[in-house]
Amino acid sequence: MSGDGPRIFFQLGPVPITETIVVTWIIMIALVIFAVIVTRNLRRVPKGSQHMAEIIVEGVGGYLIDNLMGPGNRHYVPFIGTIMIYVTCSNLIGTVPGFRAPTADLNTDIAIALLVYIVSNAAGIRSKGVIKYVKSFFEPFFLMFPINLVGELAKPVSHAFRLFGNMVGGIFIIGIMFMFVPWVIPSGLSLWFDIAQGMIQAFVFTMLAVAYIAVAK
Amino acid sequence: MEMGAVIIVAAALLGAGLAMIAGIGPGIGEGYAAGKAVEAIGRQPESRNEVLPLLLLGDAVAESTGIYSLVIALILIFVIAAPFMNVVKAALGI
Repeated sequence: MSGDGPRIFFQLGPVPITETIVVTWIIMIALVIFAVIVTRNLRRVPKGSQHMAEIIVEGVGGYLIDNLMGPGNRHYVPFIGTIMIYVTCSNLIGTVPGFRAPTADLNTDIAIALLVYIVSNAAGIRSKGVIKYVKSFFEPFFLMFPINLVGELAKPVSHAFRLFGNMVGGIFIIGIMFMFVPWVIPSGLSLWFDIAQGMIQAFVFTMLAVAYIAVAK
Repeated sequence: MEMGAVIIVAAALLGAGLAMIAGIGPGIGEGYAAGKAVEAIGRQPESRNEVLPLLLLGDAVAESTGIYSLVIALILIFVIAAPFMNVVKAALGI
């Protein structure tokens, strides 16, 4: 059933090449081709597909970064935008028959969450300085250090598990429903869990990444 | 051996069901947050763009406990119970 996890295609030395990795490659190739086509001849007055790229960049920069981080943080747009586009594509590719969403594999989610965690802590150290950053773990007084530490370590875990739980939960519910009613109803559920939930969760994942970086600063 | 496997599987599946009781919490919490957001937008319709991301962010954070319980239920079913499933099926003759 769907509880078996991603299929293993072949072994590359000690590394098993799973469905997740192959689908991620496909998404990467598609996104690179998209980026090359869209930015091939940039003009001051946008024309054709350049509109699409500008909508994405302006949406991430104006809506997420400026709203949640405050103005003057547009240098985070490439990082946050990449996460948003990649997670959205990964969630939506689950609707294609035969494809399993890469975000329904915990490895992908943990990787992105750890990346966000490192960036947020680096941003915190850069804006506060090392001494103030270390001191922020001992606030409001030094006995709170273990609680602050656990709270800090829980961030990437909850960040990754939120996306993973939502995607895998959708796959399981569709799979269980498929055993009862093989027609019509699974497609309606797929519409909700893969498309609607996928886009909402991608947005939430991106927004939490922005919020973690904004809080750490 | 067989009896032990049956008990482990039964306890793990029961535990998975019990863990999902935690789904009540996020349901109530997110519904409450959404209601408050609708109230706020009803009072000030022009504040919609500021309220909406905050609502989604708050819902996402409130959802954590539900997701944790889902993950624990999945671990109980697919990590704890699954290796014993064949023994149990053989013992019960299914």
